[in-house]
Amino acid sequence: MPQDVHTYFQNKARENDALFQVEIDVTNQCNANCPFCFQGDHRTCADGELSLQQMIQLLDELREMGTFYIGFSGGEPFARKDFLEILREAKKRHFRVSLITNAMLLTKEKIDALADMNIDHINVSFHSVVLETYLKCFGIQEKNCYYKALENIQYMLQKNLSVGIAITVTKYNVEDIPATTKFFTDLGVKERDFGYNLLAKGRREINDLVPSKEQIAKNNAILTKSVDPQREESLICTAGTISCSIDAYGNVYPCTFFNTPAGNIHETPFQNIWKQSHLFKLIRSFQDSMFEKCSSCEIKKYCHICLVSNMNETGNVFKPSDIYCISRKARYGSCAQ
Amino acid sequence: MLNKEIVFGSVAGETMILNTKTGTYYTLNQQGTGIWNLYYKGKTIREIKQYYADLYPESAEAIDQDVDSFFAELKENHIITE
Repeated sequence: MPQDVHTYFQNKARENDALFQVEIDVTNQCNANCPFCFQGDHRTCADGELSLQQMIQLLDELREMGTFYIGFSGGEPFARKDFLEILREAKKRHFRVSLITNAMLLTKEKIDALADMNIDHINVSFHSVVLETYLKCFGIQEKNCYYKALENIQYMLQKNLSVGIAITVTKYNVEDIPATTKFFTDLGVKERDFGYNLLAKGRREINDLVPSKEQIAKNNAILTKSVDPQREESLICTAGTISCSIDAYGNVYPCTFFNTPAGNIHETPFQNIWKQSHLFKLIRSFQDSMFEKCSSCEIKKYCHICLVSNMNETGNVFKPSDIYCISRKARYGSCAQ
Repeated sequence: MLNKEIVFGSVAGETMILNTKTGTYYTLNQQGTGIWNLYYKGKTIREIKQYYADLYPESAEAIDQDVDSFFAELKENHIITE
């Protein structure tokens, strides 16, 4: 048995087309309006969302399939009134459970509940410690949201919850990255728990928000701190091979960025979608060698091939855009030296 | 009962168990995964022994010992509570 059990099982999942990890977007409702949001326009009501019972049924099916991780997202998941119940049901089934939230809608009582149920990790989107930039990145005007989110992060850390900070890197906040990182490091967030997400096009245009390669290179030292060391497995991301996402309406996607579902669980059992959908079979047929530019790239051991970015930006699933490559080389170039 | 810090997943007949409090991983082979799945679904240790004894009647004594030993190890490693 290899020393790294986790990597062994990830690789075994890939060899067996087994579902290792799922993202469930429990709602499309959100109290924010980020200009770069991959979900596009948000809904303000819960019509059509999977009910709690349907979520429980889905969790039972995922447990039967041997899934290890579930990551919950949205919209803003706490915009859904029964989200804590969903989390409890997931923890009762002994999944490793994480969630991503803007922390603006949390209360001390809800955080106490998260601690009691032993939630494994909470990623908080907090794009800048500078108030004006924070509000701009979230597309909101209420200053209280900033202070509320900060208060909630502090309380989570006091309760010894595992907290990460997720920063989407745009031209608005890229210069604030050192200050934001230092602020949360001083509060107690571990270095490995910072996620710096370079922009990828979802349902909104992002070209005007992308930082310049000079701006990325200037912050390269921090942006590469959370980069995984050299890896042996495929260059292609895990979407559709060992992971997938399920939206609030039961649509199943290789990942949350895809705009074409592989199926819907109201029409087809989830297991059948995972095993038999043409979209998943197509993705599983891809080999690293089909991605000519990426296979010979100097940063291939750090970068991931993103099928959605390729399709959105070049129209060719096998070809990354120049913007994608420039920003990734600015970020990972020093790792490859 | 599984300890609340335990999370697990299974791939192709093998199971990976993680104690999230200690960060320790454990693995179960195919036979262990079979026992684990029965236990997770609510079978008692006695029922699990009976299940395998019915499948392999000539090995009832060995099954008894193996199942006891399996659960002793799970308890020792704080994967299950008493």
